[in-house]
Amino acid sequence: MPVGSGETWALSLMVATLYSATPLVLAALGGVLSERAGVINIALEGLILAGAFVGAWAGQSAPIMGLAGAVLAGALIGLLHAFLTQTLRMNPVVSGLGITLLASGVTRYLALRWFEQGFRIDGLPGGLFLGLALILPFVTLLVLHRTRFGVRLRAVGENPESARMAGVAPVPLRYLAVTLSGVLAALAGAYLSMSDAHTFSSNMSAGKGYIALAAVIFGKWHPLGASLGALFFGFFYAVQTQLQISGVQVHWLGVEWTSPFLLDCLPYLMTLAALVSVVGRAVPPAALGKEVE
Amino acid sequence: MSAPTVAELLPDPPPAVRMENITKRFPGVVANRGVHLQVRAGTFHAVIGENGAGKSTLLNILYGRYRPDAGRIFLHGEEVTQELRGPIDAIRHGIGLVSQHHALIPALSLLENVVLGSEPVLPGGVLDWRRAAARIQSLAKQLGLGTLDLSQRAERLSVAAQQKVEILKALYRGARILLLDEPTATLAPQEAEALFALLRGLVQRGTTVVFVTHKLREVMAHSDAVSVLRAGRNAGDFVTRETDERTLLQCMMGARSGSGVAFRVPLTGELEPDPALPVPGMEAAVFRPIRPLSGSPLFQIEHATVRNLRGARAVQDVSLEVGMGEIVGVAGVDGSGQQELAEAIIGLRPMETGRLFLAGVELTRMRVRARQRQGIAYIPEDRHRSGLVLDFDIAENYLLGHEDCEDWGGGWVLKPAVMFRRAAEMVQRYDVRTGFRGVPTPVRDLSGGNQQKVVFARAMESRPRFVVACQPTRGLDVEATRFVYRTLLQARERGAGVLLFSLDLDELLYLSDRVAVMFNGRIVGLLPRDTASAERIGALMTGSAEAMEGAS
Repeated sequence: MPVGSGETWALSLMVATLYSATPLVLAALGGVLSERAGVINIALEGLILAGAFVGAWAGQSAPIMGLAGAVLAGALIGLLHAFLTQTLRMNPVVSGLGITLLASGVTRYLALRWFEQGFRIDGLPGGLFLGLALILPFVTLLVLHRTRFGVRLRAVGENPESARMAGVAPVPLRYLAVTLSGVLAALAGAYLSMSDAHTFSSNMSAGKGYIALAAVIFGKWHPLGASLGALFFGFFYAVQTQLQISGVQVHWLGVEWTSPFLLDCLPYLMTLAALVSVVGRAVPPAALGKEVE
Repeated sequence: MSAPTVAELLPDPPPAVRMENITKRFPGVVANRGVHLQVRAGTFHAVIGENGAGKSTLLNILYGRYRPDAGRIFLHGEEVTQELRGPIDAIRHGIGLVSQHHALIPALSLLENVVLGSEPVLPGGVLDWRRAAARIQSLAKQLGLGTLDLSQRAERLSVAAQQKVEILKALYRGARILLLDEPTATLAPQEAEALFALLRGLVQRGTTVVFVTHKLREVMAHSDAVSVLRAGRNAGDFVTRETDERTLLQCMMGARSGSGVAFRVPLTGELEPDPALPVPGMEAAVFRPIRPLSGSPLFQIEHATVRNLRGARAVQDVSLEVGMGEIVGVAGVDGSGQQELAEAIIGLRPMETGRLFLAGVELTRMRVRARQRQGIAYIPEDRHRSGLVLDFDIAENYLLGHEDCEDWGGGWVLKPAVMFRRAAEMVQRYDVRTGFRGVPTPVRDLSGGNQQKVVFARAMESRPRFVVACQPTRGLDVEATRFVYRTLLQARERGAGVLLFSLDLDELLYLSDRVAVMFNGRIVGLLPRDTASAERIGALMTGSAEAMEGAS
């Protein structure tokens, strides 16, 4: 570490935290919307990948096309998850896993076919996505608690039959919630390819969809809580990157603790630790994962 | 002859509700077979019948939850059969349903619960809280509910208060026809009276009320007219003034009423054992004074404090004793800590403080299985969730909890042939109606009464010294209820102690030697049977201060 740069280091860590958290916040908000409506969404990982791929592909012509393409792809795949779970009544875990595996395989294949080695796109400024990640938690909060849509969404996630008895049709509501969830997760993906990497590489989501889900549970399905959770995990991504950049080496008990391979595990390890500490206290929406009768 | 008044010249207004020839089939059951129902506008109409008579189904059809397989529905003379595709349509036609289940959503605020589905909004879909709150409060005032705290979560309200909010919710949607499905099933007598007073007021102001119940007392005291259903068919329609309880009971029970009504107790509140029924110990249960507790009691719980799932103290400093051959009933409004107390005794829930003894042996630190070995048996409240594994067959369910008994379960490997033989014996002994498949029938396919027989058979298998029974007759018909009573009284006769948790006061008064009353997690009264009455217990259940002074 260069001498006398303690403050700079802290500042760059802060900035790195915000940017690392950006895709996690967006995807976590998607998770909140879907799960508060009662639909388990482990398709987040696949949605991020799909958003990243379409963003990079359509973004080759114009960045705005990339953004629009990612949003559209997210909406369509979200719709697919809703169709599979709500209309065909497939188990949401199976559907989510299937979508993720499909997205992983298809994007990898198409990337090999369509993208040249080392291609780069201009993409979009990261600040755009950062701005979204700062504003959307509050927007989501207001939507959930201050609008008709939000009240109905929460009612359907708690007890679809009660909602139906009160004159709310649960299935269309869940479709809408899961579709929006897909859009948010795809935005997270678009950030990764268009602003962070300026390229697409296969499986570049690297588990961020699952970490976002962990943030949702960590934040007790509350939009601000989930966003704070995302920030927390983003912090450890940032720490890991900063440590790797700084080249600090720590040897202890014959293990090189700062080895990149171990450091890469840090965010995931902290995810586990965080979930253990809240587990048992986090009460999910009562009808999460339950079918509409 | 005086000239007819204008009112007399006008034709009768069409009935508020007319249902014709309603038939509804569910897989394996016909719930309604050609049922008729006619309700005059602005009246208080009761629909009665035993469990499974088809009352709830009929109500749910009228509310659009189920579509009838055949039949026609008219509201105020207009046919709406085709229009009632779901609750939304029923609400649009001015129908409100206060259902037993699927009521308020616990995690939502009162305001959100009331407006859900008909939310007043500002442009952009933003809720108009102020308009909603003003409208709700003015309705609450009309109903005599005072000012409500609309921001609190529904789960914080008592069952009785939730029900009133549900009525408010229906009226908020402009309901002119209010349907109530067993509204008093979980209320204390005083709360039920208050509910009926409120409903009476509504009827006077022109609302039509249809309520389903199996409590004849309520029907006689409050309704204008009664429709009786039996086994999915109409069994009779009566004007309440012109009938009596006995007639209605006979109508409900049909041919069985002559010989088969073992207990009129749960139905009418009279203590009248059926002489035709050979129940050992029944005479004693009804007439014998409680025996003095000689020496140390069989079961003791001392200063127990138990926290519920949310960490609140659901049971506070409870001490109670049960003697040999004694049934101690525990009364209380639903959610007064009964469940937590029962679970603490069984060992399912840790006690924060307090000690437990059975026949002098301390159980406080024992696990569930060890307590069972000491002779505790448990009849859980919810036989579907905690009593049985619905997809297991009868033999597997019967074995549960006895798997480590080498003589019939097996040590490491199950012994299917022995299990089957034991289960077949049990089925015969307890008269479990299994249908043609016999022992391999999954218990899911048994009726509620037969499922409960399996639960009881398993609990009684080891001849327990102490039985904890929670709501053992909930949802059972008369036949199965009689079985449960007989089994508990038999256990008592052979010297076992029984702790009976029930919401049915008549049942408690009938079976118990003493009745403990819980309120807010404490035992606020312990009444010997000769001084216990529904009124006194009811007063204690609702925390009436005077009652508490009288009963310590």
